[in-house]
Amino acid sequence: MKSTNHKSHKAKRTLKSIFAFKRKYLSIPYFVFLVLFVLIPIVIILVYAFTKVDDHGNLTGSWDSLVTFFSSPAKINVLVVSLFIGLLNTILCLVIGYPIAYLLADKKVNKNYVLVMLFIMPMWINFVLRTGATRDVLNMLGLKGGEHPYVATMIGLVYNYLPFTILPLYTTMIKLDKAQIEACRDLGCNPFRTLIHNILPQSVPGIVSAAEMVFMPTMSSYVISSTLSEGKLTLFGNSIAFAFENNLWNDGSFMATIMLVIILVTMLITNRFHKGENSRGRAF
Amino acid sequence: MKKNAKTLLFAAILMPLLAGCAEEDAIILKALNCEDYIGEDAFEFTYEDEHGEEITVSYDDVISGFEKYESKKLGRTVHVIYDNYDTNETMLSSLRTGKTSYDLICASDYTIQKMMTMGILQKIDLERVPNYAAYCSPTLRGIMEDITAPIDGKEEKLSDYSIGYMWGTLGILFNPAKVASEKGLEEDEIKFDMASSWTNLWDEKYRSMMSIKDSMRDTYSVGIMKEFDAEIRDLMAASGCFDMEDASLPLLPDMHDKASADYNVALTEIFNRCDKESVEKVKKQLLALKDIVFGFEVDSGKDDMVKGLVGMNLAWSGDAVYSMDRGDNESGNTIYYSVPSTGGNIWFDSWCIPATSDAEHKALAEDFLDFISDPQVAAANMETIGYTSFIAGDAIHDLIRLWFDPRSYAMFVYVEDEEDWENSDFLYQEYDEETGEPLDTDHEYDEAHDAAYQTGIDLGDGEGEYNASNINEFDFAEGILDMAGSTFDQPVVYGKPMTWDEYIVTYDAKAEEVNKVITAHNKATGDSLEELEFIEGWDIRNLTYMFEGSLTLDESAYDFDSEDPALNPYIFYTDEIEEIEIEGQTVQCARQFGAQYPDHNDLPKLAVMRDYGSNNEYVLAMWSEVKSNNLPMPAVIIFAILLVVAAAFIIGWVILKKYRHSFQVARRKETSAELEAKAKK
Repeated sequence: MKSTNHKSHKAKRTLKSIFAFKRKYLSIPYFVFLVLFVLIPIVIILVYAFTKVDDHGNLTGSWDSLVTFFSSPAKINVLVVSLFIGLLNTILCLVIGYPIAYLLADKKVNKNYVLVMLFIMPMWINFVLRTGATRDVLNMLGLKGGEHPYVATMIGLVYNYLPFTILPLYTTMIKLDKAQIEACRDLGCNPFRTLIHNILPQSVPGIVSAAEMVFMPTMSSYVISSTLSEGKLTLFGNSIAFAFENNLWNDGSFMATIMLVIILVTMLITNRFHKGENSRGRAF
Repeated sequence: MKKNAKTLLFAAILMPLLAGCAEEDAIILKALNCEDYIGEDAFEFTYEDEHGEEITVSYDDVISGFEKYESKKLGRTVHVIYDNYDTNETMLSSLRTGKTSYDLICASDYTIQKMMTMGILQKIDLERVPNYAAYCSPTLRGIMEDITAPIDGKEEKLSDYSIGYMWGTLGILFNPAKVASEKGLEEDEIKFDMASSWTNLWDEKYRSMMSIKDSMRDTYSVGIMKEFDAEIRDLMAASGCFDMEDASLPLLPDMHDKASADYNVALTEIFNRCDKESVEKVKKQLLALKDIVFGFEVDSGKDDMVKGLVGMNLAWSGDAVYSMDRGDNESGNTIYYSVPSTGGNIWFDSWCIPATSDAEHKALAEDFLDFISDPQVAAANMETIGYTSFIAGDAIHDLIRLWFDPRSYAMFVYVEDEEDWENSDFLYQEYDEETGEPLDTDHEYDEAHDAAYQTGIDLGDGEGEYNASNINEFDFAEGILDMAGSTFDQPVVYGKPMTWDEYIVTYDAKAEEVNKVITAHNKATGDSLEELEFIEGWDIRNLTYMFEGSLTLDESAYDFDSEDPALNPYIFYTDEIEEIEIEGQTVQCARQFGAQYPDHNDLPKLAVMRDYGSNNEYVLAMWSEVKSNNLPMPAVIIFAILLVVAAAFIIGWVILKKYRHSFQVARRKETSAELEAKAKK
């Protein structure tokens, strides 16, 4: 009798412990999402990248797509061009966006949120539409995309990704320690030295996340480049899309894998900056 | 038990839902087609019921028309699920995954060939598609029969596995006024270049003027026509079928059969070259072309032409018609379309039935194909999408006469319900500006064609005579001759039957008379009323290949070898052809009619581009090389400097860290040593 009572108690407790609310349960939706839409697709991409279907219809491991990619100067060329465009876009966006974000964070300039809104607002319009409009504007100004594919594309890319730079920079800037900056000035730093030794180090997290938000999407974007350069500039995203459209799933997956590797490398680099000393020794 | 109870509960909830789905035993037909590729406007449809009585109904669009037709005529409920795809390649990709199944797919020639090779199609029972058998153009079906694909080791004909839907050519769409003004050229020179040879696209004088398709196969075919231009010309000369002295390389009389048998086969061989060597040659041509063109376009080309952003565009004939119509009606850009005289690509899209479709659905799919192969439905499709149907027959014959044949302009005033350009062929009808109601016109109204005979302005008969005082009020569009009682075979002017040649003379004489009055009026009042244009003469267009044997008419009344449109219903008049003469050479430039229906004698110059098969990889590699680009030199230098700076920065940073760290360690040691020393002391 006693033992059964004890048993039921135990069962109750187990039940209770299962159904009791724990904080970690909040992560279940995201975990499911992560597995379904991130992990499984990555595994599928990796499988496709390093396999091929042989003549008998069996799936066998193979390095074919790797060989195809690295033996094609055209594809490597596209990768180099994309890296270059991505890097250039990141730098341009930061150079243009940093002072804007600093000004916006200054309460004297930007009394209410309106100015920030003006800079963020373009993000709310579908970017395909925006790109089509950019093309018309550039043509009106006499800049033909087909004649200056790089210039036209860079204008479109900077225009499209500037809000993505300004927003993280702005959120960091409003948290800048004003007292430190004032102290800096009081102790005799000129504005330039204040910037280099105080404001810039304080805003490193913003710069890093802004760079992350621009670099990778730029490399894989393809609507902007193909619309504004009139199809004369091919980015890595175009190459991947072309491969999948023409049933070259293995080659396409391998190129997607290269993108993954580049993402990992950039994350490795940026994580070093992210939390400064704290993140030392951690892999990711 | 508990589980069972749950299942029962679920079943109880679901049952009514399921029953709702299967209401009236509707059969579901799943069809897959390109975007904007089926009739979406209302049309009238006449059919015979089981008692042989003719019933005319009005359908909102082709798909719902089929559903209604099935339920009314055959008494069964059919529901069509109609989906779209954007390119043949993506459609094929999604089919390969096997996630989707359709009963009907419309795809391009080479894709059907590929699908046949993959073994995912089933044969279509042509006896169950009687309309197609009766009305399909025999020549076009012959082209389909020539394409084969291996199925189970046996070569099977494409025409057994698919039903032709729309077809057309690939040519150059160009706006001579725009190119002439930007490049400082003569309009005639541009028209001559575009109509005479593909190689002119590579000419430096057209730099940044043209957009080409960002589509591998189409652009490759242009590269082929350029690379092998000399070979094709030699072949033409050797065949003896063409007049090589004339720049437009016309077919010699009575050479049609020989040209379509011998020459076309040889041309198709050249046109389908995709071995490694040819691809390499074409790649060089396309790289040169890439440098010269304005850009590659995916779908913006036709609108860019209308807006006047580009002056030339590589276009499919159906898109060309769309651009030309909109150019005329919206932006005032006069756009031309031509397939250069050496010929080019003829393509077609057709419907096929996948092997996954079971017998019941296959039968239904064949009923659908029969429905859309009815000339009335084919005409409705053509009205909406602007491409050219495989189907001939009376309805299409009427449509073409009303759209393109100047005899319609001569005889009728067109009265349409809608005021916008898409839905009315001619805006002759005037509308009340305030109410939007059509203004009263006392024309004899012929409802079948929505057309009324021109009554003329009765010059000089006293009643309707116009003079300097009332000239502004006269509607010249109503015609200057009374044409009541005319037919396409014979015009009747003021009750007097005559030939069309006589009509032209009569018209021009009258127009001269009218123009005198207009000139006098303009001089007296300072107005600028436009003078009437003279006809002078009409050209003819031979569409025997399209309509042969498909019309219901008394065959003994006509002479099908004649070149006179009044005697031969397969021949049409056209007034859109312009003769361009440069240095003693002449070529012809055409517009909408030429784009939709190439002449019978130009057909042997057109070749089908088949599936590349195992050579596809060469073409794919070629295309990605054409599309990729090298960094410009300054960019390379900037890039290199950036990389070096970044590397130096990182290395310096690491060294600094190390140095600082060792410095700190040393200092700590020092301090601790000092402390120890102090402690010892």
